Amino acid sequence: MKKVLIVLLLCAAIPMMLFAEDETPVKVREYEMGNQMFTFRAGPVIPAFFFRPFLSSSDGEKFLVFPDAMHMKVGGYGSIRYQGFLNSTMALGGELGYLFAYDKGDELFTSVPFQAKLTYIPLQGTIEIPLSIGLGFSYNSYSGGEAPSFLSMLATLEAGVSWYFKDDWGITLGTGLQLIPEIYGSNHPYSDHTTLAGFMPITLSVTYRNN
Amino acid sequence: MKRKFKHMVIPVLLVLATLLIVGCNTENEGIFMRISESVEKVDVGSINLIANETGKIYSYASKAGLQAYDPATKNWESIPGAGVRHYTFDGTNIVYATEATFPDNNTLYTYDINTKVHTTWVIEHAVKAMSPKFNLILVRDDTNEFSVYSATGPAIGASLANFTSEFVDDFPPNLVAFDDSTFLVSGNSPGDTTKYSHYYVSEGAPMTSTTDATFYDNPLVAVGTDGTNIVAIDATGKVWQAATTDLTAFTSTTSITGFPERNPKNLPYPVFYHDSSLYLQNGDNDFYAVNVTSGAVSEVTLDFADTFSNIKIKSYLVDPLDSNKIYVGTMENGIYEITMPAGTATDI
Repeated sequence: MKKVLIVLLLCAAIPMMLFAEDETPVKVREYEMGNQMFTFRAGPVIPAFFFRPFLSSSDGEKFLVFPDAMHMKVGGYGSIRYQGFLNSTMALGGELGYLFAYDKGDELFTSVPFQAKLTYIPLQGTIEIPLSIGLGFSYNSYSGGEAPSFLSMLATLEAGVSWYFKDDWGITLGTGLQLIPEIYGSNHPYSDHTTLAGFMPITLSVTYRNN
Repeated sequence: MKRKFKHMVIPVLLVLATLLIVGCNTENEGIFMRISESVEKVDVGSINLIANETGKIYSYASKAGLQAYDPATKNWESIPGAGVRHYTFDGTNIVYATEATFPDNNTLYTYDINTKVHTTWVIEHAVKAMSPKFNLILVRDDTNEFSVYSATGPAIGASLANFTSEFVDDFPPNLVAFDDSTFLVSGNSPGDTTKYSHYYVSEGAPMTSTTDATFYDNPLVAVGTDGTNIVAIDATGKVWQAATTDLTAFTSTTSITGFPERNPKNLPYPVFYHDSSLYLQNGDNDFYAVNVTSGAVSEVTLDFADTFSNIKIKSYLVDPLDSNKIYVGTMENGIYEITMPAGTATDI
């Protein structure tokens, strides 16, 4: 029995070794400082949560999760991003976007985020996994009432899976969280309306890279 | 390099500072809070309530015309009637007039809410206004002559007030009612059409102010009475108070903050009366109560003020059988019900 197994293993291994000698080694593209990436992103955005830390229980719930509870509908997000590589795994750049979502009464909430973005790519090759964090500002407005607006800080976290179908071109399916704080000081008549809002874009990106 | 960096930083900071200034939501409610309180729009448009009878709420909706709404089934039933311009309720019938161009008379109809039969009036009238909830019709009888009537079946009854030369055809006055028998007529004065004359119900008794000439600067758009006390609110939100026993002594008590500018400005302003106060929503969706006895104005903090912080109101209807139940016709969000004195509000 053992002899039969050894013969079968040898039969399988020897041809593999022979063919392996003939194959051209695959060249994995490596990033280096000065390489650049241009990315166009678009996709739906899911309102994820509102957190109102100072709201009294009689005025509403502190934590509302997902569109129904938040009285929002699924919206959309689009952006352009430019990044340059700092080393073989880290890229730094900026992103300008546009987020929109309607509320239950069909009033429009829009946000124009502009942020510095740092991306870390631990897995590289034809398939890549980019992980990003962003910090910046967001100009937010709402069409209801007196059409108020405010400028806020912005923080983003993202992860995705990229497939480079050509050496320079790839597509990425990604998701993450955009955090938009709306902060009112203690002297503001509506200080208890201070809210941290989270939005979850699910985007398909097209990336062009060069070096 | 340092210099280039400085040149880049300055415009960026300027853009940020500009956005901060234009983007400061300084006095308003939080945007995300408003979103979390937003409510679904109802597709019939703004709702002017007319009556609550036999389990149905009758109204005129800006997009859908005359409607019968059943709160139990949430069903809107259209009442046929094209080109409806004015409407009121006489206890059994919705009385309505279709549009007409001056000097033509309006065609009037009566719609029986029980038999659902429309009857055309034999005699047409030049209708200038109707009070939707109260059976009152303002008619131009002749040149510069106006009268207020009630409908009696498919015809008008005796005149409740008559104005033979107090107003002019070019600027027809408006009818502001408190109930079926308490109302005022306010409109441009014939001698100086930049000024306004105001007349209280009984045979057109003039309302005047011997101490404040600004009483004539604007039309009156709301009225409330309690015993011998009367308050009227003008188109700028100024509150005027007097005794019905002396209509020559109107004095201004205070003004309602954030009162909206409207066009035309003499349209009756939506208010409801409860426990000696007139309640109204201002242009910022805040609620105020005007005490009819003193003329004092106070901001309302009852639950319904919060409910309607994101909802604009078109009309109110106090339930004829229960004065603690107030129906609210909104601009875009259907019909609500306020329960007083608790002040809670729910959509129905």
